[in-house]
Amino acid sequence: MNYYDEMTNSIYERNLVRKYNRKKKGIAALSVGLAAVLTVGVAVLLPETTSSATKLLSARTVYAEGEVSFESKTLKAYRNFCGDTFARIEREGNTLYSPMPLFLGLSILASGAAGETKAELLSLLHMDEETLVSFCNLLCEYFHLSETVKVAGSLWIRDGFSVQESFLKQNADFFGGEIYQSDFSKRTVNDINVWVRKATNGQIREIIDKIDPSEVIELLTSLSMEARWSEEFSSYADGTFTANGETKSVQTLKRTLSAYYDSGNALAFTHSLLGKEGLTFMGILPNDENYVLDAAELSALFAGKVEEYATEEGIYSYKVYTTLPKFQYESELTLQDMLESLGVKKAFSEGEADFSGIAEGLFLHSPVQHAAIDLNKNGIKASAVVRFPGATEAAPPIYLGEVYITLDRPFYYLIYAQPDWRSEDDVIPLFMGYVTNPR
Amino acid sequence: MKETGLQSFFKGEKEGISALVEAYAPRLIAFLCGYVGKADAEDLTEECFLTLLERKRRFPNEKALRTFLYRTAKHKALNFLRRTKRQTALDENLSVNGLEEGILADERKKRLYAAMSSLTEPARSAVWLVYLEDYSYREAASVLNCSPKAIDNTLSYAKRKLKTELSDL
Repeated sequence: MNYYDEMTNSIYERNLVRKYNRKKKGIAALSVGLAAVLTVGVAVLLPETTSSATKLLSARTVYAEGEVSFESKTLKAYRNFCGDTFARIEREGNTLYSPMPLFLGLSILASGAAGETKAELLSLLHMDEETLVSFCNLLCEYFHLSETVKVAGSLWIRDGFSVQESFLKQNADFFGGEIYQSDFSKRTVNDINVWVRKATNGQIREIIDKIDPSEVIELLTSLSMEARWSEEFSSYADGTFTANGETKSVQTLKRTLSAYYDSGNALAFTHSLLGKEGLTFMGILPNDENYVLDAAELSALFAGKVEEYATEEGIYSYKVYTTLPKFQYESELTLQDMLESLGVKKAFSEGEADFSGIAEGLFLHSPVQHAAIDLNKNGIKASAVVRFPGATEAAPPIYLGEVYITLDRPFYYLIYAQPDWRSEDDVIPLFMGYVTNPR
Repeated sequence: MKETGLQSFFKGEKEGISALVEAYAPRLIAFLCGYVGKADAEDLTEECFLTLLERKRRFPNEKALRTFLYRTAKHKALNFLRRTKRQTALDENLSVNGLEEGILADERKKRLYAAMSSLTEPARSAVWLVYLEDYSYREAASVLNCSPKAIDNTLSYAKRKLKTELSDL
């Protein structure tokens, strides 16, 4: 009998013994099984979208699997947009913001805008029109191939209102055929909410409760992701969290890493998520309360990476002890004030807005973002009409010191995709958040 | 690994277990030799299969299964080292039965494998995954739980080291 046959026999026998031991604990296992069946029973199936609406266009370019490459310069411009906008968002309590759906939505509107309205939008988006179009296409192409991140959009037009055909054609690819003409009645409200549920895998239930009589179009963009940690956390550890002078106990995830980030104003660490997009969660602990996670700070964080290095003598490394509380919350943001403060004014002004490429007389009012996140030991699920990783080394490393990053007071976080691991700061932020009350 | 083989494995049938052991045990032992001595590597390999039997996970493809096994193996090795509180001396002689037909079919890989014994952890496991298993830096990083950059660093150290080793060949 050869060696591998012996191993086979040993595994076979040990498995039988384990099975027997498990049977003795049979009753406990049975009740767990029952609970699982009950949960499945409650899950609600989403009906197919749109009962009242008529589809106008259906098109989706099928992209070939292949290397999608981003230009550093363009990604930097996108991160400037992320930093500028997040810095100006009202942060009271837990906040979650996804820059991408806003970016895509504004880009689509810019494609149908003219004059000053267009200039203001392009200035906020940090790109000229040509770069913007190719960057948006590339983003959609990149995430269209993804199994963990989903980007979607839909356009709803009131019956009797007409939109420039050139605008619809230009954006047909992005909407993937989801352009609907409907009566903007209560049924449309329902249809839109069903679309939102579908786009966010049920994580966001509702975005509107009524449509104002003056509204003629509704543009929706969404980003959602669901990914497991590259390395799962086996259990929660008890910990505390202090905000506004109050300390409460929370469940936390602990991991020891060998790298961290120091921007001068904050310490940060990363946990990676499974998936070929290089999805990563970054927990950011600010040094003081006046901290603002803006574009400059984003660059400073990535530039301030402190990590292990190898020489002939061995690997030099730090021990970085990280603690992250589990959290789950929903966040609603109104975006008009933020956008106006960044110079997008004409688009909101009746009579002055120029979206002649979409329809005459059209102007924007009160854009909002509904977002939800659930971070636990398995991974992250996040939607805005829109989820986080680490390193330990096995070798006996030469320790340079110890660093503790304990997110036990209000902190920021970032979830980003990293298309190319070689250029570590060329990341695409997907979600940006601020946590004051993990639960 | 055929789907039916995996099903038979999960039922705890001997045929299924035997098929999986034949396909993966040599690789796992060789990989684990990067962390512990050969006798311990064999014991830990057995443990890996038992863990897989317990989890009864579904895998989208063969590579996912292999990655799961490597990751489990690394976990077990680290726990073992922690438990025994020692850094075991790695075996100078890395020969593992059953590797020749599959992974070491190519002469270049065979020479590299022989030279690997001069490396220490983590370089051994990184070289194994990237050069012998053709994992990408990112995939290797996910098994070893480090950044692709760390893999890159480790491999450049390994390459320098192996250069002297391979030059005599």
